[in-house]
Amino acid sequence: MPSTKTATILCIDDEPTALSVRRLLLESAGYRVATAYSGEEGIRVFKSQPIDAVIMDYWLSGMDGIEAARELKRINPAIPIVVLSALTELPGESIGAADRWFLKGEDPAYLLNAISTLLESRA
Amino acid sequence: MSTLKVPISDSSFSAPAAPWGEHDHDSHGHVVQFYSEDRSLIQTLGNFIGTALESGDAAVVVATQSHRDALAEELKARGLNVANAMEAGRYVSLDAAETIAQIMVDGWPDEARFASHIGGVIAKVRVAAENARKSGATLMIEPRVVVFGEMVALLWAEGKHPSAIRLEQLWNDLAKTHSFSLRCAYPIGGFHLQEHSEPFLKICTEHSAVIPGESYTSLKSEAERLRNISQLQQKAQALEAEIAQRKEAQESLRQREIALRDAEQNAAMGKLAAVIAHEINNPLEVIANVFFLLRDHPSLDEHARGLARIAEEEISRVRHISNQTLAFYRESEKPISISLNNVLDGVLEIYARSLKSHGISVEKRYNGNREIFAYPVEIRQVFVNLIGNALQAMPDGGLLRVGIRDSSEVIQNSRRIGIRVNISDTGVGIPAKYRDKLFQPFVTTKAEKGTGLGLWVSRGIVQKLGGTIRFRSATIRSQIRTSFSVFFPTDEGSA
Repeated sequence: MPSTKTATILCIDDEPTALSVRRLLLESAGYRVATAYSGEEGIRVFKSQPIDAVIMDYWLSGMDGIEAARELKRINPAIPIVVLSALTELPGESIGAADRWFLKGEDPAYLLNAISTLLESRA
Repeated sequence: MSTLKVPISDSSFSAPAAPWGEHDHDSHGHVVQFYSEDRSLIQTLGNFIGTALESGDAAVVVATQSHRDALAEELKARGLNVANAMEAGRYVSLDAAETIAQIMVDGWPDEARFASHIGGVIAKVRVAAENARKSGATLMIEPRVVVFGEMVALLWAEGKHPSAIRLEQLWNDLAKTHSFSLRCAYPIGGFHLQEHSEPFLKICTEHSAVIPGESYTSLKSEAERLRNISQLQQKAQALEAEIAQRKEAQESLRQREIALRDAEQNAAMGKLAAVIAHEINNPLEVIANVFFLLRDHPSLDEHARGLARIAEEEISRVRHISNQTLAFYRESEKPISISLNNVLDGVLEIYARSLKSHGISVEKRYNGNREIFAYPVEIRQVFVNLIGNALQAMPDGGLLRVGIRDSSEVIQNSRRIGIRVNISDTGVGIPAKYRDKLFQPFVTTKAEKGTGLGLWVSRGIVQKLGGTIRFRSATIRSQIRTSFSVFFPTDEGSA
């Protein structure tokens, strides 16, 4: 496992603007970032290169975020996954699929803090 | 004064001193009779009026047309010449509805009109009876006046209950200046509602004697009457129990209807909230991320970075209000088992940076891993609010204690077993003026920084789970300690 600040984070979101800004945010914190615009693409990227953590949207077109998160966990049960949702509540069954979930629009510092903690705990 | 005891309902009735007959010819008696069948009333009335006329006394009847016709037939059957008595002026029969019209002013029985009209009729029939006696061979004793009136029954039937009672009182007042024996009658069927019991009792107390309905007065022996009373008492008992059960069922139905309406409303609001939340939070995330990057961006000068920080603070307010408001309405999903330890750790993690920068130390006391059935987002929201408040109360540092333990509490008179979470701080405390209304919406101790919704929303969430949320703010050894205690019941009665 690389040091937490040189870790590679895979970001999956079907909103290009949100994805590009989130990439900038993570890069500003020192992470390397890989991106994907769908759950299917995210799984392909995940299989093709070393990924240390995943941040993904809950509501993706095509394969939804939870389905994709389950598949990623099936491939690597130890992979930390953070799900972002614009909804005020996630369905109960989605809770176990991710390690953390965040409401979109929360202070970005919380997300960075959570990623850092997840990576440290798995280091 | 004569104290004749005349059988009322049945001329062959020979029970000694039937209690409902003894006031009939008392010159000051004011007797009320309840009846089920018109026929029964007419028979009794025939006796009452017939006996008086037969004795050369005077009689006044104020009744409905049908009762007056039936009474005329009854008196005729007794062999009385009613026309003669009328001609002599010692028998007067008035229509009840017309008489009511003459004595009412603005829908209320008028004392002066009543005294003048009815008092005048009574005085007149008395004089006529006296004259008849003088001219005849009858005994020269003072004639009595008997009166039957059912204006009160008409008023009662029209729902004018206070007017009926007032008219009863006017009859009593009139008896102070005029000597007459009065009989009123009401169909018992008119008192079928529970709300009638109080005015019914009032009517009874306005009379010197009460004659129960014929199902009672027709009983011939004391033993039968006692059996009847016992049976009526049993019926009353059964009806009271049934009324109580029905009221309980109605209340339960009402509560279920309210709950259903609330649930429907919440479901509709929940869907709307989900859409609004989605539409607000997506762009909010992008904006929040952009300003987070700008506030320390090396390409900007200090002034521009300052502006970015102001924007960031304002975004934080939008986020806070949006979350507090929208979180109150949620799409209903099944609650799941969640670890309070994990929730609290997650919330402490969110605030880790702020706690550190404010110099706040955290003391965790978890008594094992404790789980409850709830909605994760809601529980998280409760502790985001409580820990967030504690943090804001300690701008110059302090100690935040977070504890989880097994506990119990009396809720609505029953002791509940559950889990208690305590969040306490050594901050500025809660001023006394806020303590009574702290959980009301839009009440905040944080001036323009607070929405005043956090504790209100939190209490709503906890109460929905059947729990309680309390606080204490006290000075202990010159240090202010504020503690919020959240109790979640976990026993079978748990919501």
